Amino acid sequence: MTLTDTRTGDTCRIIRHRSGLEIRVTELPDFRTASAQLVTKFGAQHIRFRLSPDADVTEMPPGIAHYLEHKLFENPECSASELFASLGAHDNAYTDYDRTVYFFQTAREFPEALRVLLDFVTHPFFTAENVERERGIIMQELQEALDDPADVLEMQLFSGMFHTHPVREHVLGTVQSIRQITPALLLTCWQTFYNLSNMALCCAGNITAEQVVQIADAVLPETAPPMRAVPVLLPEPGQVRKRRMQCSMDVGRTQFMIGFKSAPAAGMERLRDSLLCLLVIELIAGDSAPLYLELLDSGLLHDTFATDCLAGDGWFAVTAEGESEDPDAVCAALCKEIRRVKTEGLDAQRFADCKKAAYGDALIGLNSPEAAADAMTDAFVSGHASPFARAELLAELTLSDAQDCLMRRFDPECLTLSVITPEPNLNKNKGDL
Amino acid sequence: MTEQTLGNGIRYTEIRDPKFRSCLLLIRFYTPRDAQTAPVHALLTDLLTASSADYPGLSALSRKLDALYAADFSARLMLCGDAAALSFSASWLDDRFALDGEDITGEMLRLVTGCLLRPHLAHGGFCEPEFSVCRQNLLDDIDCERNDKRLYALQRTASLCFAGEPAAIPPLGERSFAEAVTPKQAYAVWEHLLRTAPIDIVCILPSEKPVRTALEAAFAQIPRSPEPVPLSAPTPLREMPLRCTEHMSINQSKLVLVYQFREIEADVLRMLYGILGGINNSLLFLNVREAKSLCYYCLSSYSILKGVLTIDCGVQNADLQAAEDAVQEQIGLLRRGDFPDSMLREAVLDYIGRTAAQENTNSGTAERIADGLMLGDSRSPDEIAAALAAVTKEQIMHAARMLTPAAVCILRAEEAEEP
Repeated sequence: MTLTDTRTGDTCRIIRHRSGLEIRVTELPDFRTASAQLVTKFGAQHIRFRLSPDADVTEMPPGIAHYLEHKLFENPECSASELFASLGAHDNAYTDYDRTVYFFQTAREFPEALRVLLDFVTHPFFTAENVERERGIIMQELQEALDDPADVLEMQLFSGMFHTHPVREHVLGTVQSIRQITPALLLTCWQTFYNLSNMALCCAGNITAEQVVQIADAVLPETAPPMRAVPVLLPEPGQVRKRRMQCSMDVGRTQFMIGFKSAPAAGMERLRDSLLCLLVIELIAGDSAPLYLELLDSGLLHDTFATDCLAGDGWFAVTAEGESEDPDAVCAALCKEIRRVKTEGLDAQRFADCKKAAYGDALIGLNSPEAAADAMTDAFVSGHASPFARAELLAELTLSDAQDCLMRRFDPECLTLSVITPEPNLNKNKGDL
Repeated sequence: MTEQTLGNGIRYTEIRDPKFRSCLLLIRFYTPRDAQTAPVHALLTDLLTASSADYPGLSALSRKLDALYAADFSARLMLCGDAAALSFSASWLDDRFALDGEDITGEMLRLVTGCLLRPHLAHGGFCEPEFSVCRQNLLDDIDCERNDKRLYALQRTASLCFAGEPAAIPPLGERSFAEAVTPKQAYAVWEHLLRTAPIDIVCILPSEKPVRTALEAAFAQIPRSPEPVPLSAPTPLREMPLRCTEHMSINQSKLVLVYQFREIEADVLRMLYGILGGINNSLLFLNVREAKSLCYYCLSSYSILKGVLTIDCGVQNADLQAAEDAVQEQIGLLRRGDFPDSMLREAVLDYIGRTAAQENTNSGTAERIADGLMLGDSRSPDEIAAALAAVTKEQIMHAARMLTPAAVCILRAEEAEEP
C-alpha cells in the first residue's frame, strides 16, 4: 500500500513483511542521510499483561521497558553502538509510555547499519553481570531526572491525575523498582513484546523501499509466532485522584503544570481530538489569547504558557505549564476563561489563524528524514495508518468541532494542579563554586 | 551558494535548495560585552521579537505569525569567546504552499526588517508594556538559571575559570544590572549595535526570491560605521588549577573538569575532542560510563576562542573521586596514544554524519555556514572531513600533552538529600 500526501507529494509505502514486521518507507532522494527506526509497542505503561488472552496477569516492576532498551545494545562481542560507530551511523533509543524506539541516522552504509539495527534488537544478550553493571548507569539517569523540575512537575501531575494508570510512574521507574529487575524478567518482556508482529521498521531518506525489504529478508526470520500477549490496565475512574500536588525543589521560581483529564480515545479519534485540544488550548491560553495578556499584564504569569495534549492507551490529558508566584490564581483564571468561552463561544478569526498555523507546522514538520521517520513511527503506534493524517485532518476541522471538543475535554472540575516551590533559603551562600 | 557583501560590514550568503518547504533567514549581530550590556543583549533578543512599530503591544506580532502559517521570528544570545552574538532567525512556509495565494515571503521580510529597524518606541526608548514584561521575563530567567543543574554547574565553572574576563559574566548577565536597565538604555544599546556591529546574514531558500534586495534596501537606511569585534580571547594560563565546591539540594552531584591549551590546530582539536568525549563511542563513554558504570552522561566540549576543553558528568557523591580519576585516566590514554586507530576513523565518520544530518534542515545549514563565517573557516564539510582524515595519532598525542588542568569544580549534592 502506498499513501500519498497530496500537498507535498511525499509518499509512504507500507509493506507487511513475511516475518510479521510492518515496514514503512518514505523515499526522500534529495536528502544526504537516511534514518531508520525500529519500534515495538512496548513502553513504560505495559507493566501488567497476560501472556495470552486467557492467562493470568503478569506484573513487572515499573521501568522495565527502559531497562530493556538499555540492555539490548549489548552483544556478546561488543556493543551495537560500537558497530554503528564503525559505520559512521549515529544510533540511540528512547522509551516512552507506549513504545520503545531504536534508531540510527547515517550519511553512508545504510544497508549495513540497518542489518546491525535489525540484528541487535532481535538478539538479546542478558547476563547477570551485564544486567547488574547497567543498574548503576540507570540509577544515575534516574537521579538526574529527579533533579529536573520539568520531569518532576509532569510526574507529580500524572500521579495526581490518575488513580491506577501506569503513567503515574516515571518512565525510568523508581530506585526500588529498578533494583527488582533481573535478566529473567527482561527476557520475559522481550519474548512477549518484541514479537515482530508487534513492531514496525520505519525508514526515510535517500534509500528505497526495495533496499529495506531486501535487508529485512536477509536478517529476519521467515515467519514469527502471532502476537498473543494482551496489555492489562486496571479500571481508571473518570475523576482525578487529587486536585493539587506540591513539592519543593532547588528551583529559582515557583513552577506549575495544570492537567485536564478526560476520557481516553484510540486511533483516528485520539489524533483528531488531540489536534482539536491543541487548537482550543492555544485559543484560550496561547500567547495571543486575551487571558494570557491579562495574566502577563497583572504579573500573575511569567513569560508564557507551554501547552500540550498528551494521550495514550487508557489516558488523555491537556496540559498548560508555566511560572507564577500564585499558581492557584492562574489556575482559577484559566478555569474562569474556559467557562466563559464555553458560554460565549470561541473566536472564529483566531480559530482560522490557529488552524493555518497548525497546517504550516504540519507541512514543515515532515521536511527531513528524521521527522518523516518519527511521523511514521507515531502513526504505527498510535493506530492511525497515515503519517500524513495530521495535515489531512486539520484541513477538515471546523469551529464547531473545536467548540464541541472544548465542552468534552476541558472540565474545570476534572483537573490537577502540580506545583513546585523553591526550597527555603535557596540563595544562601553554600560554597565557593 | 553565493557570498556577497551588502556593504558596511554586512556579509550576505544565500543558498537555494528546492528540497526545503520553508525559507530561513539568519541574522547575527556581533558585539563586545561587559557587565552592563550583557543583560541588555539578552533583553534585546526578547524585546525585538515581541513587537514592532507595525505590530505594537504583546499580541499583534504573534497573531500575525500565526496567520502566516506558523511563521517564526525568534532570537537567541550566543557567547563567542569574550564577545556575544545576537542571533535572529526567521522561518516561514514557502509561498507555493499558501492556501490563499498569500505573499508570505514579502510579508515576513517586512515583518523582520520592521522589528529590527523600526521597533515600538516612545520617548526615545522601548515602549510599555513590552519593556516591563520582557525585563521581568529576563529576571525570571536569571533566577531560573539554577533549574538545569548541568548547565548551572558549567556556567558557575566558567564564571570562576574566566574571572575578570567578559566570559565570566553569566549568559543573561547579573541580576542587579538587569534590574537597572531602562527602556532608553536598552534602545541606546540597540541603536549602537545597529550602527557598529559586524553583521552576518545567511538565507536558505527553496527558490529564487528577492530577499537580498529587500535586506539591502532596509539596511541602507542605517548610517553604519562597523567596528571589528575580536572573538578569540584565550584565558590566561593558570599556574595552579582551581578547586571549588558548591553544595546544593539535589540528588546527583555534577563534576566539571577544565583543561587549558594554547596553539592546538582546530582540526586536531576537533579530533581530540571527538575521541575523548564527542563521538558515540568515545573514551569517556566506553571507559567512564560503560566499563565503570560511574555515570549516565560524561561529555566533553571545547571553546577554541577561550582555549579550554571541558569535561562534565553527573555522579553520586561516593563516586566523585573515582570519576575525577577516571576522566584523568582518559586524558592519559590520549597523551600516550593508548586508543585504537579505529577511533580516528570513527571521529571523521562522526563529523561527516553530523554535518550531513545538520544539512537536512535549513536552520542547521544556516547555523553551520554562520559558524564558519564567525570562525573564519570557509571550508565545505567535505574539505573539513578531508582535513580531519589527515590528522595523525601523533598530532593528537602531542595536543593532549598540551592540555593543562585549569579547574575541578563540583556541584555537590547535600548528603541529607541523597537517596
